[in-house]
Amino acid sequence: MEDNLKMIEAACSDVRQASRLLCSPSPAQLDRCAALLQAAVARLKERRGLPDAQRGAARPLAEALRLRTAIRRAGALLESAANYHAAWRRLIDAMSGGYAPGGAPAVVVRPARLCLRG
Amino acid sequence: MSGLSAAMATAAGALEAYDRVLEVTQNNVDNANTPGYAAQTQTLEALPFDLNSGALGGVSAGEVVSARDQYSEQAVRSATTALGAANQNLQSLTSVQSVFDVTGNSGLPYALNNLFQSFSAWAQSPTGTVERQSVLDQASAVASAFQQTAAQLGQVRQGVETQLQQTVDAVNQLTAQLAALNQQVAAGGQNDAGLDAQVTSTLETLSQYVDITASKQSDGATTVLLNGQAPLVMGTSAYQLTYQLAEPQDPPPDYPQGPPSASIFSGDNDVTSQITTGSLGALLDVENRVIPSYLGNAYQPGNLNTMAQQFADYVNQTLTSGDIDDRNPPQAGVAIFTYDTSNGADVAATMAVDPTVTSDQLAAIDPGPPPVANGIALQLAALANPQSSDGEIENVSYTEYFGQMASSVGAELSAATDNQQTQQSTVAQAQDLRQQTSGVSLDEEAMTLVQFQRAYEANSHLITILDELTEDAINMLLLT
Repeated sequence: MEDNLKMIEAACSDVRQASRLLCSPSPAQLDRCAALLQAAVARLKERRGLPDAQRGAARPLAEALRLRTAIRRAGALLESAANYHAAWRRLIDAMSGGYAPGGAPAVVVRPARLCLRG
Repeated sequence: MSGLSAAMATAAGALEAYDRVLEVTQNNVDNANTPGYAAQTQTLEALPFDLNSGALGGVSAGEVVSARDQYSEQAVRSATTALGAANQNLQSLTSVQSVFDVTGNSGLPYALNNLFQSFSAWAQSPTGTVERQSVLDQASAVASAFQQTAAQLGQVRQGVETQLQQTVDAVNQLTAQLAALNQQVAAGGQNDAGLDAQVTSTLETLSQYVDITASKQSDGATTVLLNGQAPLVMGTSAYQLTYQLAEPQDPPPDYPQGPPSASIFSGDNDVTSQITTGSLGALLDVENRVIPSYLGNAYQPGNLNTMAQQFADYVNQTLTSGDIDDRNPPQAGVAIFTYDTSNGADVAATMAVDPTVTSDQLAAIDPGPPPVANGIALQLAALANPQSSDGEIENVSYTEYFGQMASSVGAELSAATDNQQTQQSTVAQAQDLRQQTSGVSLDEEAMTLVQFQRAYEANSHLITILDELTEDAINMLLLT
């Protein structure tokens, strides 16, 4: 039971840290966020292999509910950041490509570009 | 300057301005396929026309405005509006929850429990004077508890109504400030960074209260719309909101004497339905949805009134179906609870024990057949733990029904607490995104947009897996 509890607590800590990174989303931060979420997934998968000695125990259940809240918060932050960039992209499409007959922004084909710096 | 050369200078200025428009347009066309390119707009500013002073009008080129800045500002304002709603929701629901004490040590659950115990004691001793008097005393305590709960919820409602007026006043004050700032812009402050900062700051403050869409016009003035529809500020005019409490007429009310609903007007137009978020939206929701679900309005009696009426009716009907003694002819029992029967949304607030009823008028005998000396008292004692639909309200006991009301507020409060914390982070995120795009070259941003999309997809996939795994874990832990 202790092992299970520790697994959930550690996963919760990973997800909360991911949420903090999502407050300042940049491609690099999002990569770090993905690594943390991946670690949380691995912990929960490991937990599944352990026997649940005390089903119905209050502490692990409370921690699992906290984990769910943390995941939903991270999900909300990810969604709001993704919406921000998706809407901006749609605006750019409309501004540079106009509108399709249905009123949706026109599909703008963007060829791959290579940017060299140095 | 002679008239001819002045006219030529005006024409030359106009040509130069249009030349710059063409340049910007050409730039937009060249970059049409550049990922992340923010199309730019060349604004044209009208020059004064006054023949007496020699001003011949015409146009000059203004600053190049990036649509991206307006987009980022609007994103911050939208997040601020959602936070304003979350903060207000949390505050109002905390007040509502304080009315529902579920510990059983005070309030309605405590009073009901005591009454059920007195019914039980009366069933043990159906002719006992002390037991009968105790039933009357505890019934009075229940009626007082209903009244007190209704009064406390009424006080919460009054507080919300005061806040509604204060919020509308704050909105009107801010829109008046924006109209005054527009006037300063029109008077030549179009490129004044200080003025611009004041407009931005005022818009951000305003967005806490209501969902606004702000757009900068070619003359530099800021137009503000409520939820993208009703105008709040246009040029130098501010459109004031007004708050009214009134009984709705369409559709015709089912409870004409029920508490009124709150409405917000812009001029003669009812814009209440447009105000769904921000602190004003949250206040309207508490006033028009949350509190009426307990205290009623023109279209519903409210759960507290429903509970009070059904409880009073059940006790009264049970008592009047019994006999006080076994004389011939038997003397029927009397009802003990009274309430305002003319207004279904006012039952809890007016519930009382009939002061003319005395303890020896309580009927304990169920006439049967066969007659049972304590049958009525037993039926009433069973209200504590009803074994059939008799004595239940919506398939649960009265105590459980009150508990359901309390848990519904608790669940809304818990969701509001989570939501407030998430919205705080969302505002910080929107401010960060605004900061990120400020001063970054469009080329650089174009590259990162592609990276963002990839990263969002990866993270979104992981969140879905995590959510599923956590649900599994919760279900496993819930199994006993």
